[in-house]
Amino acid sequence: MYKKENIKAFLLMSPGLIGFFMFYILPFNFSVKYAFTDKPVKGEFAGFSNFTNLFGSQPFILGVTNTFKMLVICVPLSLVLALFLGETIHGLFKSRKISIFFMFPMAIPSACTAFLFRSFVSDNGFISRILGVQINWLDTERALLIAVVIYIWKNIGYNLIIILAGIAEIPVEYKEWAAVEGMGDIGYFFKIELPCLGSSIFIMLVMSIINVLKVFKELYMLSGNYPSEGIYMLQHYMNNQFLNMNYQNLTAASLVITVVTGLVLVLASRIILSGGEG
Amino acid sequence: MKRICKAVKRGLPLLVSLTFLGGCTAQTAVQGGDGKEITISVSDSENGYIALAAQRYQEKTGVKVNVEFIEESDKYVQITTAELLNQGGPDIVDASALNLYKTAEQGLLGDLNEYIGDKLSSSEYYLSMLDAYLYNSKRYTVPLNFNFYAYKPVDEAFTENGLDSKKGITAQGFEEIIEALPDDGSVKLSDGGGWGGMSGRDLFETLYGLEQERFFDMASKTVNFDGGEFESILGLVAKAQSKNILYSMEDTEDPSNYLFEEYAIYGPTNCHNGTVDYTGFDIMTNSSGKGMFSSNSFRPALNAGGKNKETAADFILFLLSEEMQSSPELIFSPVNRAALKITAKRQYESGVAEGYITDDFTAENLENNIKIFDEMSSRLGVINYPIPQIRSFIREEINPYIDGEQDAEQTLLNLQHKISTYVNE
Repeated sequence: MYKKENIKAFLLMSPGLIGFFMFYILPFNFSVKYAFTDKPVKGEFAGFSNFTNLFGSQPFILGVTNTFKMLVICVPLSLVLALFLGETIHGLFKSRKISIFFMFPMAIPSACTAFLFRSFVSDNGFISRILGVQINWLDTERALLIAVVIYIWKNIGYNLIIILAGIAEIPVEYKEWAAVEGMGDIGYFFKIELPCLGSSIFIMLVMSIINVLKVFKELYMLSGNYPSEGIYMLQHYMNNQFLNMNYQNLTAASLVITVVTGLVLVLASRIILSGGEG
Repeated sequence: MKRICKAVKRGLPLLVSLTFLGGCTAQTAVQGGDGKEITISVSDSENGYIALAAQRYQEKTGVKVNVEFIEESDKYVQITTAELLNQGGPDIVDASALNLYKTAEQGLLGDLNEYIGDKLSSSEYYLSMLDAYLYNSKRYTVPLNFNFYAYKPVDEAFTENGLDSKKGITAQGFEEIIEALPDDGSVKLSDGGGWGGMSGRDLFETLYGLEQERFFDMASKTVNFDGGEFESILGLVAKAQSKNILYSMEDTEDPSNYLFEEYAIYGPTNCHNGTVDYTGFDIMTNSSGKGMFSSNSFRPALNAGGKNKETAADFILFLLSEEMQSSPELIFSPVNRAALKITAKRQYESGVAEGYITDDFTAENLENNIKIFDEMSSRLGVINYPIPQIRSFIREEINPYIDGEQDAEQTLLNLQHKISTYVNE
């Protein structure tokens, strides 16, 4: 009986495992090969030269710098905003249905988002007309700010849903106990609510990092493969490497990002999740 | 269930390692040997020149040449690059449709110099145009034909404005010309050659195109748009616009007073104005004495992974031969010098027979035209916009500048960033 259950379980897991193996593990391993060869076809072993070239490449450094700026600005901002909105909605409204309004931007296709923002930021757009100028704001120093606004607008709803779900899971008795102990709202938030939201915050962190990388879609539709200096992201670099058939640089960059992102998430999980357990 | 999880936990790293090793060592076996059949793919719906060459080459050598036509250029790029990356695909590809320099950098194209380099001489070909396509001293492609712009100074207009028409037309000399012309718009730079004038954009593309080697170099990965030279070209164009010496399609009247007649030249008897005497014509040259040309139709390149490279290179040499280059199927002018004379004479005779070449253009005019055309062609060595992506960047940034929507500083900063990123990626 136990064996039968094991076999059943394995059979049920196998499609997912096979898919994961074929579409993630296998291609990833083949891509590792490209990272250590000098050409995509009949390449010879090149050691770590692709990696040293990568870190000497001005476009790669620019892409990493801009992506890092986006992460440093967008991730904490979206977490804080989601927490603020979550607390506000939880405190003011009995029903969480109002959060649906914040979800609408997520449902809008990227092309429509790009079209909407173009109508604001292009040289004949709403902002230029209000100011009486003819400036393509995506070609200015404010381009990164526009990218941040696009990200927040599109993704705040997702984080809000996670936070609201997390808040709803906190037992009511904690609040009552805090009130009995004379703990104010701020004390309750920092000493009880925030630690309990550790898992939710960790999920938000992971998804926020992924969504920052995905903002490339809208930026690509707004500014093409080679946008202005302020919004040339790592994804632009990697997309262009693919188009230029430079698989060595592409896979070397993706390996570096995988390692760095993995380390960041491991560190974050230790800090956030262990803090939550406390 | 726990046992399954344990088994997966233990087995997965082993499986991953095995596939990693397998991925690192996997190689596709390449079978060598030049055979009796080659394939060539063309980004076009049809190309009479290639079809004829395939037929004649088979008759001469017994080698079968299969020609594949792929009409849409985006589809051609997708299919061909995938084939090249899989070490398959045709023996000869169409370099005019591909991203030539990036494809060559990945080792996907063969060096023609290894097979036919010693057979290309300046006595037989307009070698300066063939050499314009050298990249890192390798010859990945060759042009089969070309066309260019020539100018005929109007001596009276030059004299009236204190200029010397005998000095020749150079990109550097344009500053003196623009300074000398009056501000009232009574004299235009050119008559526009019937193409709608020399607008700000046309002037920019001419001045920039001739000197583009000063601004970026794909081989050395250097980009220099934010130096002073590019800004001075922008300044010249702005000055020409402000002095109202440019003539564009929006102008309602044809210019009556202009410095140059402008001609798009396709051959010794063939320019867009019809058949004219080329006496007094000259090309515009850059600081190295080279003129600019265009060659936008099929350009053959060797597939580095092809099995029949030697035969394919021999076929490319056949495409450059006097026999093929003098055939009527080749549009514009041949790069083969001997073929040029044969083509010119054939076009003259058919022009006379069909009546569009009249009595005032004689055989003596033809010989004179051939001589002048040959002399101008020998000095052509700069490709008009060799890299489509860079052309796209330039036009994106120059158009708002010309229209007064963007200043020079922003224009050159944007170009410096975009082109530097593209070149260094």
